[in-house]
Amino acid sequence: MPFLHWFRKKSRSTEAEAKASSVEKWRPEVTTVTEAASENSEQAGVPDTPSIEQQPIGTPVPATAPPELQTSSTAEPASTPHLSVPLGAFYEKLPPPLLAPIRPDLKRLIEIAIDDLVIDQTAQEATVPLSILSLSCPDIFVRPVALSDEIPITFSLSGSVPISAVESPPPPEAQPLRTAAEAPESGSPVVPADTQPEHAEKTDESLLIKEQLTKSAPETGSGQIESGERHWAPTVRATTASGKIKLRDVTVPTDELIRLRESEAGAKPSASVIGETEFSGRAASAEKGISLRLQSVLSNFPPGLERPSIQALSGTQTEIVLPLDLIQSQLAQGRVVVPAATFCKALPNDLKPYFETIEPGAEIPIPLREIFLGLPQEAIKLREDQEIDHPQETIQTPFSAQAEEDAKRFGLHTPAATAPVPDQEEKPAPAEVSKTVSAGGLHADAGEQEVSSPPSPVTPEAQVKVDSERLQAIFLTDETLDLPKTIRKVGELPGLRSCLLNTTDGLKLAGSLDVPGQEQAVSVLVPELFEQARAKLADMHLGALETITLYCGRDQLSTFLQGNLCLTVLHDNRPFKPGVREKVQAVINELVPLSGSEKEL
Amino acid sequence: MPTINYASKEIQFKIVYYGAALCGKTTNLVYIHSRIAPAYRGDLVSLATAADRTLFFDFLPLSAVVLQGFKTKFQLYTVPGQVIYNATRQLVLRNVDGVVFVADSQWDKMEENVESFRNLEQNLQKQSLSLDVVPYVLQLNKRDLQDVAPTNYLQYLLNNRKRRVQSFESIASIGVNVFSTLDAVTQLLLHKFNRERGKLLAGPGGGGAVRDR
Repeated sequence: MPFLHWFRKKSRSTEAEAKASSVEKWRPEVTTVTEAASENSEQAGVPDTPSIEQQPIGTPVPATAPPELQTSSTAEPASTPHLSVPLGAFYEKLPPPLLAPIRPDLKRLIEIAIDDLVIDQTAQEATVPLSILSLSCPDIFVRPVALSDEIPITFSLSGSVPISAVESPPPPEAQPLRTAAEAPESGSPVVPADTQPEHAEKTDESLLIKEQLTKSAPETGSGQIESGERHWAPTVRATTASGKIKLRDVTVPTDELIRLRESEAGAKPSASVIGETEFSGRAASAEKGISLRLQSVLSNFPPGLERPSIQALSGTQTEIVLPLDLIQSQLAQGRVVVPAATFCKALPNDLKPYFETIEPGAEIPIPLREIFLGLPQEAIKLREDQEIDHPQETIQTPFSAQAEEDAKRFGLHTPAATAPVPDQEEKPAPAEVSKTVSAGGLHADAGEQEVSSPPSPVTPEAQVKVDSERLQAIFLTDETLDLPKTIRKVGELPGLRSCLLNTTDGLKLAGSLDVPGQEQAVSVLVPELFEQARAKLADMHLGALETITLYCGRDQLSTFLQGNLCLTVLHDNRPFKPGVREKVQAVINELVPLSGSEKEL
Repeated sequence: MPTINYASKEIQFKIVYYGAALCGKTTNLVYIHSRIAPAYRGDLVSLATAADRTLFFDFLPLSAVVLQGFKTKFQLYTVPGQVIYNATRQLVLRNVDGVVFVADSQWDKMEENVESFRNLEQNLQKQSLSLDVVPYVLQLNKRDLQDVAPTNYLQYLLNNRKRRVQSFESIASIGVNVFSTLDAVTQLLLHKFNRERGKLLAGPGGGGAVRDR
């Protein structure tokens, strides 16, 4: 029966291999726990509880496995270690509007899951979202904490005690924490290496922490862990559904905390999320944070939030680092704001007090210009599936000629899309443009007519030089403007019939009014009238008199006086249209400084 | 679609200059008005407040070339940029043929640009139109100022749609690329007109797309 013997042996070995492989498959999920459990068993004096690795291969895990194993491998939340914190450690930092009117006993201990805490080892402080606190002690709040109320609450770890999650009553007295190896620095929390042995022995998790604690202490020697800094061992690592996250030296903004909590509530947080929780204020890597000058942010600070103490920081050279994804997600809106809580979190500790009075939900605008100083180019990348909407063939439009002219004039090679803009120093060549006439489309402006018309007579000894470019800007034209043309253009402004420029002593310089007799009278009388009105009005402290408008029957005329120049316009049966008066004033302002007569004065 | 008057053999295209308040829409029209010979343009009608803010709209009629035996006219409109005048903007946008979106390049105007662009999309949507079908170009105005955003950011804000349109860096106050912008949008709508002309010029009974006047 050798064949039958071989067959029995083979079937047994195959069965054993199958069972072994099935054990192998799920072993990684419970490795930490089983290791801890086996170590727990040794340390807690439970040697008769076999660990999975101690069980013979092929022996399936019994349905009635020891409770430690069942709990550990399936229900992670129940195994979360907690920290017992006196209410007084954070009560004063809670937003007063949310607090119940009756003040609670501040010595009362509140249990907070260590997973929910972000612990700053250096400062010996822990940070927890307000919503978590509200779940831990809902009775002290007047209402549930909404998302808009969410702020991080930071409190000192002194007086806090780590306890087991399944341990129902809090320890009778909160004992100070001590480091495992040696006495801490004064004022810093210490690690309970052996302070609560009876609690630590009750669950795998507390033993796991204890194991981590006992492992880290000898490795680092003299209480220091890896980086050489002093750390409170139980909070160096926190276990999540996906494994362990190193929280050492990590500063997590509120929104990151919320996201972390959400990911933990879900099935499996992605690796990127975990990676993002590694964001650390000033020490953030370039791809996760963006460095901004605080001074630039303060220069754009909302007036409603600005306090005198903040104004005093105007010369600060401090830089802050904000999460890039928070900034980047808002760039498409043309405005970037961060919650005050996040902003305060990014501040160095010495500046935080300046901003403590700001409501955590308030929005702090971040200047886009400042963001773009350090923004990676790919942050504003256009989508790759874009279709370019340019017509293949060019149609001559009625405006093509002007477009080409302008392109030449402004030094643009082609009037094509995204054509570069010339430097400000580049000035147009107005004379060329005014003479250019488009061939088939619309013609250039009235420059041709202007050239052909005879110039107005100007008294040679009182010529006024004009700054053609400045006047071109006022009239939005490229035509070269001399004094007669300028005065004529004033008379052609909407609502005006004609214009006359003369000196205050009655000398006509350019332009004309409708009736020659009016000109003589206006040239002499109106400047005198203006001067008298100006002298009388000086006592009224109304500011400088710029214009006088006279309504005379059907005629209305307005006079502007600057220096020794008097400019009078005749209206077209109604007062100034919007903007016209200001434009005329701008013209006479340009004429006066170049007036030869003024120099004589 | 353009307005076609078969009696007078005229085609009218309506181009609307759209954008946030004080971005330079009226300045575009003023410059265009100043450069076109009086024989080919009408008066620039501007309903503005004392502070020169456009109250209702600016209107500049331009007559030009002959297309398919039809005299072509262009009506240039601007909209009031202030947020509260949305009803007016909707009114001005009715039967629009082409749009010039004028963006203010200053850093602190980025949000207003985005809001105005979204408002344009919404108002077109109310007319069962969209920027996918209406010819439009972007004008990135005020490039001469000191505190302006880079053009790639403006493109990211306003030209990150499936269809990437032409954009022009401009200084409307002195006329840089003002006519290039107008030329580009005119080309787009003439191309569109050429594609649809069979339907449009077939006469009132020839197609449903013709708007009679």
